[in-house]
Amino acid sequence: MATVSATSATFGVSLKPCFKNNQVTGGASTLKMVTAGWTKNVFPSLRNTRFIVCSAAKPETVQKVCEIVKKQLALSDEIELTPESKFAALGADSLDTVEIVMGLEEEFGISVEEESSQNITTVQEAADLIEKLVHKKA
Amino acid sequence: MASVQSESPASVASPSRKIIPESKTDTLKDPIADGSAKIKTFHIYRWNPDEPTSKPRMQSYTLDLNKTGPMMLDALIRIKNEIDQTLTFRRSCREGICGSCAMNIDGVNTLACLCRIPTDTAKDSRIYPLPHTYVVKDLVPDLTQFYKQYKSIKPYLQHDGPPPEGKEYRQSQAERAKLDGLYECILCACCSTSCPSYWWNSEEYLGPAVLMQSYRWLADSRDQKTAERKAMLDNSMSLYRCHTILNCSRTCPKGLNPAKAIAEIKKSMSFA
Amino acid sequence: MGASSGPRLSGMQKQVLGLYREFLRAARSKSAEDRRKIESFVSAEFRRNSKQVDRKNFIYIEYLLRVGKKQLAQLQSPDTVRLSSLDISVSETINHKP
Repeated sequence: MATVSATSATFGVSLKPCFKNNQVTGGASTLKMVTAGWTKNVFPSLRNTRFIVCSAAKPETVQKVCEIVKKQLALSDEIELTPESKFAALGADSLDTVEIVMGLEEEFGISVEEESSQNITTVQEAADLIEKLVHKKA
Repeated sequence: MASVQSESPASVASPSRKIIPESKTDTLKDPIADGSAKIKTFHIYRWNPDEPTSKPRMQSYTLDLNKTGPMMLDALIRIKNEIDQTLTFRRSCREGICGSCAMNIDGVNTLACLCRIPTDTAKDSRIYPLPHTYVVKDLVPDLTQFYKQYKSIKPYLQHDGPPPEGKEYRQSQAERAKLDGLYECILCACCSTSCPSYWWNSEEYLGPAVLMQSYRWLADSRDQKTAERKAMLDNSMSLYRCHTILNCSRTCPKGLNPAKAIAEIKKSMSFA
Repeated sequence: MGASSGPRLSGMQKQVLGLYREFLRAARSKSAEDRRKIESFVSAEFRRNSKQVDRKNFIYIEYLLRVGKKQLAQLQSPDTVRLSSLDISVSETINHKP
């Protein structure tokens, strides 16, 4: 989360443990936490989105995203992907990123808008956006 | 008349394309000029997308007018045939009916085939693509947007049901006469690309050529979609970006008057 | 959007990526075999240009964008099943120059 802007950096820190929680426990309980976070926060600002973003995605979604990224970038099995893995750090250029997002669209049966697709840089960001879109569709 | 076009080549060419310095040193010369030669110099805009690193430039050529036909298109064809085969331009009918060879010659948009070469050899001629068009190569403009706009006005007869006597839609001589001065347009795009309003708003403003064709169908006694056609134009951009600059009527190589047609549309919209 | 940690892209870069997306999208509507061919062709074309073309050569990039948009429109027609390129040897045209 190196490139998160200064204001949300403090948030990011407090969220880290919550995120790990997410990995251990199931998605349902953490989702509750998120709604709590929503009501507490008065500002309908970016921090809100950041908050949801950091905790919403289910582990299986993250897992699926990792698989697609691996396939798309033709990575060997030894390379371990984490939700924080940056596509760029894995050797992806902007064209690869487009391909990844297109692959995800097909896999999850969603349609990602151009603007948001260009903002996806990590596995986590991709997984969160997918959950949001799948949820919207349902 | 507020005239933007003038004899100076800079007037029309400059808003779209930087004036590119002409180098006298690499002029390509007429290979068969002799002692009685009447040598004229032509400076022609060149750009080749197949050489990605090269920038647009002006290439100078000299021709012996005694060995060249009278029209600018003759000069271009001679240059291509005998001096430089890489020169690219559109041409077809060579008699002003196809509209292919529209370009900016000595500051005026016109058809190369209808434009005489000025016999004054002391003055150089300058040839550019149509102003404010994307260039495909050299003198070839990209008219995609122009054609798209033409398509958008539905340039065909719209009539519900078959003709009364089963043969054709009849028209009186007086009704037919209303189409004179409209139907002759060959869509060469000289007028639209001479219009400053069109330069700045070509995405939304239809431009003189397309508006004149729009009026051609509004004025047609057989067409039944007049109301729909008018409704399509009834917004701030499509029609009303015409500020009667009149470059269109001044430049039209066919001697038509698009500005008048636009005025007629405006009139019919305000009294409808 | 501030929440993004994505790279800052210029307007032209966004247009190029958008065009690439639309090409891949158009390829989806073709048969599996055609789709695979189209995808590899388009991908090779974009990658080749991304390496060869100077990123500041705006005139040329804009030109490629216009060409690409036209080709995309053709590809989007249901009748189109394939894309291919014609390789004309450059040396010949150069030799013809006086």
